[in-house]
Amino acid sequence: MRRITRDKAFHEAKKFIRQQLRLIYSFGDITLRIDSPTVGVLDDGTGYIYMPSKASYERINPSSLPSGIVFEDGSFLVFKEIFRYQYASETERTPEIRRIEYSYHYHRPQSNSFFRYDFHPDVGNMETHPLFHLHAGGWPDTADDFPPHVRFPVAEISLREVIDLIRISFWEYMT
Amino acid sequence: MRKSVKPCHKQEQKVTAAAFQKGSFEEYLWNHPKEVEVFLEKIGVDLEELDRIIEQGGGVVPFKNAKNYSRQSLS
Repeated sequence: MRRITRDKAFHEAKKFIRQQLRLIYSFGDITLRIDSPTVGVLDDGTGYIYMPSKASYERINPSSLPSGIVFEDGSFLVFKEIFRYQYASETERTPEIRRIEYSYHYHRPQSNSFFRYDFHPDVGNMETHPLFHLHAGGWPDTADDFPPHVRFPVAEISLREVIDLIRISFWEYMT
Repeated sequence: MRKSVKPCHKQEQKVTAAAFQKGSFEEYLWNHPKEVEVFLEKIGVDLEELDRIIEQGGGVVPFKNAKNYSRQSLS
């Protein structure tokens, strides 16, 4: 396993940010508004994308106003991706962009419901937090926070797959 | 013959997730960075400014009017 220089890691993280922006803005045909995401690369080469910002993402609750990628029906997607150019394992010979953490939260205020795909291996344990999991549920009108919910074990998923899922489930299938 | 025993100082590698799958559209984009650049410039992202923001520690992506550009209008 060859050492990856900081410059190389930085360059590749930057390239991935551009690529994700390309994806985000490919969905203009079903969106009402796309907020500017917050992006960056830390000194150790770890890159991040918050849609729309870390603060907004962390404050999301049942009564949050639409932000991030806002779809034509008022539903919206906020997300974070943390990534780094590194080896997938100690036996891999070729480094690649790997996601260290992600969370894609899709919110439907009109039906008091949401789903969220999470991957945060540093939080919880495998009994309560399957490595890749999905939250899905609803809340009563008066709720201040999301209700306690089950973490369904799922396969890993990408940003494009989440947006495609939204498109198929709430646009193409419904119309 | 005596077996050599080397001390093991391997650091445990954290679990990570692939950024994209082989054969996916994302992999295509990864291999065609020029196409990504052209798209972003077309919708009004200032790439030089974006690089500057990233190099200075991060911030909000500078662009205008992204909504006006759909997948269809660019194909």
